[in-house]
Amino acid sequence: MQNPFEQFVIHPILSLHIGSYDLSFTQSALCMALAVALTTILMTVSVRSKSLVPGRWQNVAEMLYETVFGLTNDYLHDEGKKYFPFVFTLFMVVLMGNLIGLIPYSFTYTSHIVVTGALALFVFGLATLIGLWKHKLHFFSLFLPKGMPWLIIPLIIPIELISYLSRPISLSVRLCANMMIGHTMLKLIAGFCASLFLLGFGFKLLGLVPFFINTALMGLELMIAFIQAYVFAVLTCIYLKDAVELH
Amino acid sequence: MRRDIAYTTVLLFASSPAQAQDAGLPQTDVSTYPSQIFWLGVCFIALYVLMSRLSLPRVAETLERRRTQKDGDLKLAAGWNEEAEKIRAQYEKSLAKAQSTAAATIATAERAVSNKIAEEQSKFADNSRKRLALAEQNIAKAKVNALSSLSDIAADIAADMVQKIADVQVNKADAKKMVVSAMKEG
Repeated sequence: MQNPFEQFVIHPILSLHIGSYDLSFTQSALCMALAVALTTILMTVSVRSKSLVPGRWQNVAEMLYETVFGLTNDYLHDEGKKYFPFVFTLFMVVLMGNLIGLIPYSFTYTSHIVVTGALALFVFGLATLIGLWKHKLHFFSLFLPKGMPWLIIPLIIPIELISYLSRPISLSVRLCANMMIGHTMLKLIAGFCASLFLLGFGFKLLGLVPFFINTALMGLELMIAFIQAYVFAVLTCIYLKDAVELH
Repeated sequence: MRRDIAYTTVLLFASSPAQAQDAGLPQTDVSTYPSQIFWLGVCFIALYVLMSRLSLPRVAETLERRRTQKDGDLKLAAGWNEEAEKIRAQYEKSLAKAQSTAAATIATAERAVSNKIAEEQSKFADNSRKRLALAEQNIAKAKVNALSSLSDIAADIAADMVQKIADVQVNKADAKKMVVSAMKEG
């Protein structure tokens, strides 16, 4: 059976070296560019009519808008408007990465830990900077919940600190692992299906079993693509809320 | 032939022409990191600028426009509803007024009729009482006349009887006197 991890290998399309860095335009970058293009088309062209009764695609665009707007509004209240474009961009980058990856032979850039890690670290760094800038030294009261008996303070501060610092790790690993496992599973079962088909007539019928399993898995992965993008946006909002409002 | 095509498809599907990594996950190939981070940054910034400058304000405007239109329509509908309610109240008021006027008219008519009936009845009663009294007076008068002429008749009869039986001429006045005193005694 073929190696199911080969789908994650990155191939350069246009070679580009700046200094000692290899910044080649790869199929990963192509999918990212595609995500930008598709998102822009969906959010701009389909809303062009500005009609009173939205069409099919405009409805999708408005639903995405209102989903993320609801999130930022719920968690960040009046501050939400400021962070809404950022959270929306983040949501769409993740969602489009997950969705484009579901097309056979395409590439899932959100299955790479470096991509999800960069996004998560950016969110984490941004939240921390906003917190420090807004509350100065008061920001560190985030690690000391109010009304703690002083005896357990030495215990609570390291725990809170570790849980805070592990946020970008859990945020990035959750998304990356979900995408990787989903695609590996699809590939494994598809390969199994193909192998059975090559064996001969009797096995061809048997090969239908993994075929239908994969069909169902595709639906599951489609759902996971949305859920993971939503979870990423929700956690981003929670981290920003902690930075903006403290406890 | 068909088997060959299927086999080629599987090969295409499952393996890539480029260098296959036999050991480790492709995700741990650090040499691809700069490129991935660089293009992620470029695409993220591009999308952020496009969304915040172009798309999101447009969607917001569309939603706002629809909301104000909807609110306006609702307000208009509420206004019409209020107007309809007012007209209904007016209608009900005038209906109630008409009903009370009708009731008053009916009551007046009934009172007039019953007054008239009572008046006619009392007039009729007075009239019949008067005529009754007059009739009773006439009867009494007739009785008195009858009684007064009774003694004359009796005196005549008595005088005639005395003449026939005893063959005595009796004075009419004496006979009457005797009859009256006898009637008084009887």
